[in-house]
Amino acid sequence: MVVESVRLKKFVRHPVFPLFIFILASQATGEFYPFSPFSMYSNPTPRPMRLYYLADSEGNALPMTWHAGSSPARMTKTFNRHKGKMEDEDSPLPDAEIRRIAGEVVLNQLRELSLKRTKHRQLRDEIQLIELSISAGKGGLEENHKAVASLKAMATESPQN
Amino acid sequence: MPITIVRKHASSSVRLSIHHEAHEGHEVFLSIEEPHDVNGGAPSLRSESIAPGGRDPPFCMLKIRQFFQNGFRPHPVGATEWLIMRVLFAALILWDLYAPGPYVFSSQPSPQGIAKIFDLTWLNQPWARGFVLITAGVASVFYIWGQRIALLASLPVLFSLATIVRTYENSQGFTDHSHQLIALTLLAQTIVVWTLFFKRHHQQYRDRAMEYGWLLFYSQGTIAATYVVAAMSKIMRSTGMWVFNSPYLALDLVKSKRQNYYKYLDEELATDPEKAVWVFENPNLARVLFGGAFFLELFALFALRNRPWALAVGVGLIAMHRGIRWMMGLNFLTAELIVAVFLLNIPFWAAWIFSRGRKTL
Repeated sequence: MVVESVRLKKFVRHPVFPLFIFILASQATGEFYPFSPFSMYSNPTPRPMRLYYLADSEGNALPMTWHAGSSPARMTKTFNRHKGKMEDEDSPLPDAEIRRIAGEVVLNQLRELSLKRTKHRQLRDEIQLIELSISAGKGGLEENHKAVASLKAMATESPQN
Repeated sequence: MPITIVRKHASSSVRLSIHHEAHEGHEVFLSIEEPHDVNGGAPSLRSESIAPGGRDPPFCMLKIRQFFQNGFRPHPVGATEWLIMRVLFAALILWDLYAPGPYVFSSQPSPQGIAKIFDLTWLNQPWARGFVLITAGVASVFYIWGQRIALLASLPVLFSLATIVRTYENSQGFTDHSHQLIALTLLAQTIVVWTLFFKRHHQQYRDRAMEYGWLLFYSQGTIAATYVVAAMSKIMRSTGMWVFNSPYLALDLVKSKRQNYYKYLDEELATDPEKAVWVFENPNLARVLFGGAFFLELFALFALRNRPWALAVGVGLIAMHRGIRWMMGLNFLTAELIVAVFLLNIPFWAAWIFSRGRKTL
């Protein structure tokens, strides 16, 4: 008993001990910058992976970073966060509708970011958000594309007098 | 009963005072670790008490115990070595704050961290980036100067700026994990300098070489512990199956490749994901590959044993990041640079080579 107590005391006084507290605290706080559990790629599963990219009205991909300065990785996280929020609130809407609303949030954010950039980069025409689903099928890796949301073209600017 | 041992050194004598409670019927084993530098750092004393009739631990256990008993404590650090680290770290902080990314957002739709309490949208004001850079520049000058009072003032400022700017960026609905190490290292250094300030009346905390040693120890420790946090998350979220399930990271490889392609529609990235296909078709080799990276993260705290271990773990972590970049196109340059500054410690090893190994490890 005495030995155990001495060992515990030694461990608590060891210079490495605060780092173990930091490790536990990072798991407990979750995402609270700069603390984080750094959980990216922490649970590889055979479930399909989804990402979202920007396209024009015809479904042709547009260079998201060139237009808006943001990336498909960030917008995928934004989409998932909004979708997850609605699901957590027990939204009565069907899944496709939840996806459409989350997709519109992403498209609005992209358009807003693009409008701060030079004119030829601005996303004023109709735009779509396309979901790319990647899965492990019997024949190997499979990729499927599907539009989830769209934004109409912006009203043309009135001529300046 | 108190025991006093006096050991004569070539240049000086080291007095080690040992106080140990002897319990009746118990054998007490004492081993004394030499300090790295007789002028700095209190020597550490290890003791074990074994119940009567207890058997000697097996040889491998003794070796493991010896491994953990040597090192894993701050060692004296030279003024020049620490100055070079401060200069490089300050440059890294300023470079990170200079990036225009975080300042372009006009709102914080998904507030995270302190953004839940404070409105950080002022960072979108036209003057905000200049204000942040000037403040950080002045604080960096004080940080590089390195006097105790300068560190006490500059470190909290730099930590606050690094936290505020990237919290705002992470409050846009996505989480970017590539900048945390800067703020966490600044937080660790802030805690160390303030702790040493409050303990300044104790003789053992007055030595400058040991002060730099504490700062380096917890900078390295915070960086290493962050990788341990990532490994712990992998264990918990995958219920211990991460290495076994790692071939499914092939899906992540395809996702990363496509995400990079859709940034600029770069034709070079439009090709088939051959690395992902290889991972998918060679699951056991993939487990060995990803397993190596996983155990490197899990045991990253071994970097605290001594300088050679810090170098080895640092090289391993940078190689891991380079590997991730090659396979997934994910850039963790900030993490690589901070590992290079505090774990690789290239200036020290250059000096060690030029001194033909005479410099103390």
